[in-house]
Amino acid sequence: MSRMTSKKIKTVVFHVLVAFGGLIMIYPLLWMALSSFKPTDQVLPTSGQLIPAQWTLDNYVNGWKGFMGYTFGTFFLNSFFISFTATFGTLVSSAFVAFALQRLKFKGKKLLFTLVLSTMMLPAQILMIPQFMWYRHLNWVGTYYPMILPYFFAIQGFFVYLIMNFIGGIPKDLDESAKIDGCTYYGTFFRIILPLIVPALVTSAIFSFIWRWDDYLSALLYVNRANMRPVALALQLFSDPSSGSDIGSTLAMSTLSIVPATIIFLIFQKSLVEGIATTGIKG
Amino acid sequence: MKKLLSVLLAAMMLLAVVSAYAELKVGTYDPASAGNVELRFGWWGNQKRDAVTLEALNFFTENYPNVTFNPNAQNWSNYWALMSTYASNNDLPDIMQQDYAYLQQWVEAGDLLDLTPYVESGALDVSGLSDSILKSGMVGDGLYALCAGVNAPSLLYNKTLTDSLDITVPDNMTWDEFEEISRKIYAARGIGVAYGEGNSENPLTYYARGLGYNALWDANGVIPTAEEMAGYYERLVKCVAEGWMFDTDEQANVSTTGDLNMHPLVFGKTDDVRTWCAFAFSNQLAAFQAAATADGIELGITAWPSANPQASNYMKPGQFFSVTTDTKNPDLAVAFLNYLINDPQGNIKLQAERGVPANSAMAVEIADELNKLDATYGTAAAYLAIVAENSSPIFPPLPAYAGTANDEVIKYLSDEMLAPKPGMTAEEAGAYFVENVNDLAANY
Amino acid sequence: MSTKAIKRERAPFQAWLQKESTAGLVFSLPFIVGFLMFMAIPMGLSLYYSFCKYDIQTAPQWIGLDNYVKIFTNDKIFSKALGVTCYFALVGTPLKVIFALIVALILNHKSKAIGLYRAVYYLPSIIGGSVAVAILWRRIFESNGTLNAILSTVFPGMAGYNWFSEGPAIWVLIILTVWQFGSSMLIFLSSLKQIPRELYEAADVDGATKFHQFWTVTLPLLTPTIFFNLVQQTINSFLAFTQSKLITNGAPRNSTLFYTVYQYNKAFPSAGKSQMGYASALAWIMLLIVSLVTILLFWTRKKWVYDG
Repeated sequence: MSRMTSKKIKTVVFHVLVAFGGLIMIYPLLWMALSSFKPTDQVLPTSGQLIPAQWTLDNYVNGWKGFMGYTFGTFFLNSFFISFTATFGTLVSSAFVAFALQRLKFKGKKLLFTLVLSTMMLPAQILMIPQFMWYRHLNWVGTYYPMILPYFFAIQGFFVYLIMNFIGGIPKDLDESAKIDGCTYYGTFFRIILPLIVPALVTSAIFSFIWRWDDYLSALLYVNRANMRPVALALQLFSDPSSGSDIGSTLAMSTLSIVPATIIFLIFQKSLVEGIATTGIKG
Repeated sequence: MKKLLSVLLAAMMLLAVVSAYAELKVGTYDPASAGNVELRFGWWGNQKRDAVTLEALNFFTENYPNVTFNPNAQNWSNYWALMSTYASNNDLPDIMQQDYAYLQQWVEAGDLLDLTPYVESGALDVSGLSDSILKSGMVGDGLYALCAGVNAPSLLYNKTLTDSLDITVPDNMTWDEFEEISRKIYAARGIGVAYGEGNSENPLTYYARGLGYNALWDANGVIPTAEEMAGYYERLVKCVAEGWMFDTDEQANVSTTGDLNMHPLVFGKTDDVRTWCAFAFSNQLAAFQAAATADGIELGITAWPSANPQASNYMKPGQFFSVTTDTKNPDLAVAFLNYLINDPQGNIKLQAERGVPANSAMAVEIADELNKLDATYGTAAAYLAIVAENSSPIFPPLPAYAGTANDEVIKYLSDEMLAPKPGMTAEEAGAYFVENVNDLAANY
Repeated sequence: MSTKAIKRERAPFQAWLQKESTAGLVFSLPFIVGFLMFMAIPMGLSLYYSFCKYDIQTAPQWIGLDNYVKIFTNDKIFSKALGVTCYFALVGTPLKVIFALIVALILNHKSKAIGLYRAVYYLPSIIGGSVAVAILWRRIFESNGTLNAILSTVFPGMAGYNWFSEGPAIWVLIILTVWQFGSSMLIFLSSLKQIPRELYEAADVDGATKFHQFWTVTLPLLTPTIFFNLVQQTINSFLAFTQSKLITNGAPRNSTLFYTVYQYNKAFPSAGKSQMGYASALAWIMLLIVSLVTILLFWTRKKWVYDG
């Protein structure tokens, strides 16, 4: 058998296997999206079949109406605002701190790193009450501040640690040669490191966006007006255990709610494919 | 003469309904005099409740444009987490929905306003509420909550199934009759009973009342003896051993994680994962029936089984409305409460979604309207009329430790005793129950 | 004259600013401020609450070590939940990381469809704890569900097997967490991109097989990322919440009760008073346990992680 055909066979096998695995992975999502077009009382009884026997947009119409006089349009705008600003803050601040902890020598570095890790270890459900007390003291209740401002201060150890890990993968010679060229530490960060950690920043942006988008606990406590609710909190209202749930509308609005994250992923993953990181590392 | 009077009365009522638009039943305080104010109103529920409540609020603001509302609706678990957080900061909404199980504890924490002065001054009209319903909102001598809708424990069952097996489910059946029916259905179709709802104090209270006590517990601890409580657990062990009552594993397989749309009564592909009945409350009938319709099931409603159903059963305030001590406009809040309880137009907007209106005269007055909106309303109301004749006054508000006892003792024992192999004997369970609950009561 | 003075004054400041130790602090400043402002105070408060009886609605009452004593001497569910969580974390985490690594290696290909594939493999992680997953996961694993239908064609004994019974139930949750390997996969993918191509080219010249390349080039260079994912996912699993809360709620008999769910139920019970003090004590015990595990992981780091 010639080399060409064996390579072709390999490619076909690759695609078949990956596509099949992908189908298993994506099945629940497909199920959610397709079920949202079934009449709401048919979703559970026909949960075994993927394609609706009877297509309807009722769930979207009904779900979009939203709560307390505000439609999901409002909730989506709120979620966008919160997620974008908080993500921006997270990226900028975490990159700074990560650079310091990974590349610079200074007093108290070990302690800082320990504290960074410790912020990953306390569950949000426990901190939420003491945090509420403090934010109330700052007069932040009823505003978006608690859901945005802290993120400008690298309070999520995960992102600091993630970016640190990437900076660790960049050869140290690059910093050294920049220093010899007369670059300050600040210059090194902005001119050498920052361009090289774009994949890490993209990855972080995707995570941060999704986490902020899904966070309903802080919205529950700090948003006290119906028109300020983000999508995640609004979605919670579709299901109340004792009074029954509208499963169709839940699925319809859940489906819509993952659309932004999906689009963002599809746009940004390109920069992961193209591998910006490899381009400067020859030095 | 009597007939004439009733006709006249009916005509007057009709007139009242028609003219209600101009004048809402708000008591003696005129909300228009409050100036431009905002009232905060918190409740738990789903989209349906949200929509009907909002309509009632809008109707109020149409009449009193100087009042605006800041509504805050959450689902059950988020609601209580949020409200206790607000309470810690003295920042509760002016009016909040309350639950019978929580009332005592919220009053003890000093978060609810005593409404007695408003009743005495006439600002709050409670003349439409029956004595027992009014009392259910009282803690000590104070009135802290008004009933938003009346409820009763209800056994919802698959009437389509029982009809097909030629089984009649009697009203007020005893526990023995219930076992008999369950065995028959299990033998014929393999359809069982899920007693997972036993994770709350409700079935235990029901059992204790069947023994002749008024309640399961009070501030000092458990009322029945350890031997009597052992009887409750003995029953569970026996039923599980007979096969028709789900053990914890079978329960987990159909576990609904609280969502009634997935309750085995109304959902499940095969008979072995279905049940013929659910231990529920009457205001859940509409939601259960909606979920059952897809499978072509018609639901019946009757009382929970007990050794003595007339002693066990009770009319329960489904939910309450309370004015909180954090309100800055108590007069206005009370006027609004008056509207929620007594106004026929407002209650048509509310669609009896929280249960049959507590103001019984008004409930009769608007029954036709409500029937038009929800076909199950009539069934639930008819059942409640039966319960009214066949029940005993409700137990006092639960002691403050009840919630903790629920989590730490009742759930634990129910897990142990419904297990495929029970973790202890019924005697041990009864003793464990009394000892641990009394311990909680003493140290709370 | 005056400009000269300013210059002279500026110079030491400039020099100070350029010192490595200063730059380190300047770059760390956001975290230092953020930690003090937004973490230290709440953490301190929660530590204080852990020594109190605190129902949120009324002021906390100091009770010393009572909460801790009760947890260790008189709380059966604590040890159960801790056991369940450790099992979930110690079994689930390695599986998830290995799975993520394998898929990342497979998807680290140049192909037109690769973007779509990555999206497809990543998307399940986006819907994490949604109602849809909760419904569907039950439909797959219930006794007459999809999984048993497939299994029973090969193993007839599996028909009607109850995956939600005590014992296998925790695996339903482990499989769910492994299925949501997307975030680790993404981190692997982006660090695979960091490996300089010339290292592979060099290996090619040496005539190394693909397999050999993997062992000598890819894997060593990935070890920092593997370590990172391991640490992060271990912490995450110890703090896992939604899987248990949404799908099993601890049933049957607390055999799938995650520690954080237990803790949440104490802090915000579905009926009755909050036991925030007790819940805070639980949280601090967990913090201690997770810290120990993390220290242990860092201790092994020197032995197998490649430091460039």
